[in-house]
Amino acid sequence: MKIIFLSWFREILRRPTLTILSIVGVALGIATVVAVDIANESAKRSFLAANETISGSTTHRFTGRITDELYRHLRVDLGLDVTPVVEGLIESDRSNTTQLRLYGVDLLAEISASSNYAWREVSIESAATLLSNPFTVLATRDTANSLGWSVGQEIPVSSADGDFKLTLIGLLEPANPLQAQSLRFVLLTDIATAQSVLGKQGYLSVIHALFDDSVQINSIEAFLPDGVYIESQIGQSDSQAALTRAFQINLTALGLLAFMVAMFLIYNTTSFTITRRQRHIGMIRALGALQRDIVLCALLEVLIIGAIATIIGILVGIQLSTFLLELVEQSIATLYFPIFADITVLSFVTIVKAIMLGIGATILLALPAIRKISSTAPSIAIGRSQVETQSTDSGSKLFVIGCSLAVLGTLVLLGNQHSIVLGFFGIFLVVIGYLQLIPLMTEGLKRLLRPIVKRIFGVQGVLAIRAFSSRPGQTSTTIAVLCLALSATVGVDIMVSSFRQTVDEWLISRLRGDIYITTPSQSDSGLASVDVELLENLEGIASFGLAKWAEIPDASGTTTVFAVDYGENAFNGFQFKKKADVDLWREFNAGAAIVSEPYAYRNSIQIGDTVDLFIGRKSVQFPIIGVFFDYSSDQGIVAIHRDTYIRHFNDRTISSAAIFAKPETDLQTIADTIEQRVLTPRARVWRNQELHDASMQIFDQTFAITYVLRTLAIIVAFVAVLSALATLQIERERELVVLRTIGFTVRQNWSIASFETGVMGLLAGIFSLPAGILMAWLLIWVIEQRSFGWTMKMQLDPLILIGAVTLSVVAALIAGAIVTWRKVRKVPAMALQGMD
Amino acid sequence: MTEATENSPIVVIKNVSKSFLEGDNCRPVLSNINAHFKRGGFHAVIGRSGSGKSTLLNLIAGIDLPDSGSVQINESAINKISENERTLLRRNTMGIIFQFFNLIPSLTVQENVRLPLDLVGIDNQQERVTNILELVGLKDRRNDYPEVLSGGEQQRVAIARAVVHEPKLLLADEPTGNLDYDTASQVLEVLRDVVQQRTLILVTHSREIASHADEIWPLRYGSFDSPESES
Ligand SMILES: Nc1ncnc2c1ncn2[C@@H]1O[C@H](COP(=O)(O)OP(=O)(O)O)[C@@H](O)[C@H]1O
Ligand SMILES: [Mg+2]
Repeated sequence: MKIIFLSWFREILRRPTLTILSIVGVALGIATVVAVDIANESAKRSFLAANETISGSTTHRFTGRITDELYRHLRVDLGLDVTPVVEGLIESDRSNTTQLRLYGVDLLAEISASSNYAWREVSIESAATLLSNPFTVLATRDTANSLGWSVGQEIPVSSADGDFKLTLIGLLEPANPLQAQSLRFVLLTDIATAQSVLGKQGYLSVIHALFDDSVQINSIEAFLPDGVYIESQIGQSDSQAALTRAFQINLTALGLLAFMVAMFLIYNTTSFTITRRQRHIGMIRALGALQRDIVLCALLEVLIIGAIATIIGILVGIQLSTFLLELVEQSIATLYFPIFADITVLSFVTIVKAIMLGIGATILLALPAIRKISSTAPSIAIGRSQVETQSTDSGSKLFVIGCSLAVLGTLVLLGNQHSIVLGFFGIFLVVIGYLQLIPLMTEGLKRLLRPIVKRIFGVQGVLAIRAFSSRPGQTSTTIAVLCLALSATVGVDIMVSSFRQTVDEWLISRLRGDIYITTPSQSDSGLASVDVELLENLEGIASFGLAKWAEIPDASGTTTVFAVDYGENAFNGFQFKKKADVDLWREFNAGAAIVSEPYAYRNSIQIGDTVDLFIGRKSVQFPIIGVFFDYSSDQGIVAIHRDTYIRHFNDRTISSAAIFAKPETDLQTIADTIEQRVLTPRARVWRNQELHDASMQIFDQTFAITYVLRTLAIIVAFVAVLSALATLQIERERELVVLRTIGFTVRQNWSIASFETGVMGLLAGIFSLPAGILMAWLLIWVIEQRSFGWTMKMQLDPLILIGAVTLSVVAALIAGAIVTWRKVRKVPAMALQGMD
Repeated sequence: MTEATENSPIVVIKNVSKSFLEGDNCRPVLSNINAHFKRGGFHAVIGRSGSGKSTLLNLIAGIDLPDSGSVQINESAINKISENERTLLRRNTMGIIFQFFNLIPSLTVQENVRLPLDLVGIDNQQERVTNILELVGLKDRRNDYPEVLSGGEQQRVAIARAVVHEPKLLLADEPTGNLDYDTASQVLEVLRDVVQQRTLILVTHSREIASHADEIWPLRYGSFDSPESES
């Protein structure tokens, strides 16, 4: 027994490349899964941390137009445990502009409050200094350092309300790294300072409250003035977490994809690892080794490979996750919340997942190969005809299996309309089903190719495609691995490019104005009235329209309302998915609402339903006359006429303006003029094209991670192909050597080997197209439609398809070259001798 | 398994047929052959290349199974027992010298020779290994890997490995087939030395080699003529 183990493991050392490839392959698969897991978890933690530190653990919060007076009443008169916040974004103009979050809190209230805030640690002295000196702030050391700010120093900042100078009077000491992260770029100050800097004198952004059961929420609600709302914070983090959904779904989708490729890869790698032992196993079996011995050795080998790969995979995965997070940091921060690439959370669950994949799945997936090889009669293994340990199953059997898997997948897809994971599982089944057909298709194509190849390339060509007959199983599995990764690429690429195209067209249709002025969404005051007057008097302007973005409370939270008055032409820029059979523009003017597709999807809206929004405690209904395509928010938006909005909500503030120039005026000149004269702080002037491009840029940032992950899938597949080819090549080695001895030149050997791998690449590329298109279609249907409620037109960009086939051929050729380059050269005599 | 009687044949082949699938057609190699090999002595099976000699040896060794008929070793039909039992029978009672040596490339000469002892579970391995390597004249090369040995040396290692655990039945497949005349004679000498108390079944295409045997079974067109007794 001892010697059997010895010979088994010396065999590994004899051909270390294959083992290393197996380890690399499995490790890469695990790394991807781990990286995605960590990125996902870290994003969630960052979000929660940001949320937790800022708002503390509270039960309720008051929002809306909260006055100082209301706060005083709640705290002093009613003696409730409440803490106020005035917050907003400001910019530091030091070196390069940095966005900072100014946080005004009532420090004395905070210190006595039972909730747990970061600034509980703030000393009474610094609290007192903060209170007695206006325009002083506290910040973490990190923040101060990155601003190049030292205690006692003044720095200039600007807000929507003007320019100010703030003095750093002390440092915040965060209790833990997580807190440090969420306090990054936060300036802590007192309520009064925050109110002056942010231009919110007399008003508070939010009041956090920690109520126990004795507090009667109903009675509090009863005396709240109009425009102030109280919401329960319990369960709130769920709905807030919905913000991260888009990000997480994307990541999870790709994580599952990586998982799928990893599983397939592991299956192949382990099968190959076992298969290449065939001769060795035959010999020791003939000498009297039992099946049990073989199984034991094989299991041990796979276990070792799995264990090493798991460790490497976890380590690489951690590195990779940092990279992924840095990549998404920008887009997520712009779109949702600050994300902290350095909070990498390697959770226990992730480690368990990695181990289950690396060791559990590896062993499980190796079992069929182990079973087959250990039960093969030794004579076959040592004889001239080699066993096929892979898919010796007949084509028709595979066809049946493939079709059943596809049908099962379809049923899963149809059966559950909401679960994303099940959706992916369905896609997985369908694609795996498709992959079962590859041996059949390879066989068919081979028959088709053979006469052609023979005519063109002669015996050499026949030699090259002979590989397909001598080892059809392994050849087609190699093709299948490559095909799987490629179809994933094609699928994701088509999905993203279709999405991009759809968004692009939507932007073009929607952005009808020649020039736009936008204000930061954080600023309450919006576009100053002087600037509206400016537009009225400017040369070259045919007309302009105004719009307001508002968050209005509804029965379950808030609704984003786009109150727009850009005119009839711009209204025609809305593209409707469904609409009432009325004059839309007239009804819209008269007070009807149109809703975006995700809104309709989320709320199961039909034409003729109403949108219910709250004004104080009474609700207003807006009849819905149309559902329009919109990709700006996955939460959905409701558009009403600005006049309707003003009528109900009595809010004349302006978020943005669209300007329509007179024909044949120079847009740049108008834009420049507006830019120079506009007085609203931080208002931005955009030419149509600029706004369009900026939006597309955000889009591209959001999907940057997608591209990275799918590139990763390709790399994983490449390694898989490499190891598959290396295994196939062991057998070809002898043949190539023999060919050299009978007079083939190195070049001829090269061309035979490359031809073979090239054809494999070509087939994989071709087979990946239908699978990729299918996958894209399913992705669009499952992910975008189900999770976001977005309709996308699938666009088949021929470049993607050609690219995939090219990539496939090139990858296969490179992999082939890597495994062959030494072999084709081998001096015949030497090689023949060293042959076992 | 009942202990076989002293003068019953060690190997009995009854109505054995074997064919191989080649693509879609079935190619008969052995058809309905019968033979019995007496306990003790040197039996040669002689036949042309491709006549099915190796196939027959594989069937006797239980490495392969007949399509029909039975192969009995010590009066038990090895095609009726489980794969596991077959392997145990093989490792305990047989030594096999393969046509292409089948030395394990990842094991040194002495490790290759030790392998059967290891499998059977015999202690005191080193002494036996040293003795047997001495016998085949390869003591000096015991730490070399097979790939650096010449064909004749490899063959001698294979012989040492086949007999080290003192099997009752020794099967040899063209043990001299790949060797020049002088080396072949040496190898044959060695074989004769080690075989003494055992049964040797040797298959070969060479009359010359076969002439050393006590009994010759000529294999023609997949079946036996009656055995010719030499000496
Ligand atoms: N595993 C196998 N698969 C297919 N054909 C085989 C196999 N083993 C042997 N044969 C065929 O059986 C015939 C006899 O082979 P073999 O027993 O090796 O002949 P010998 O050893 O007498 O030269 C040959 O024609 C050979 O091609
Ligand atoms: Mg033979």
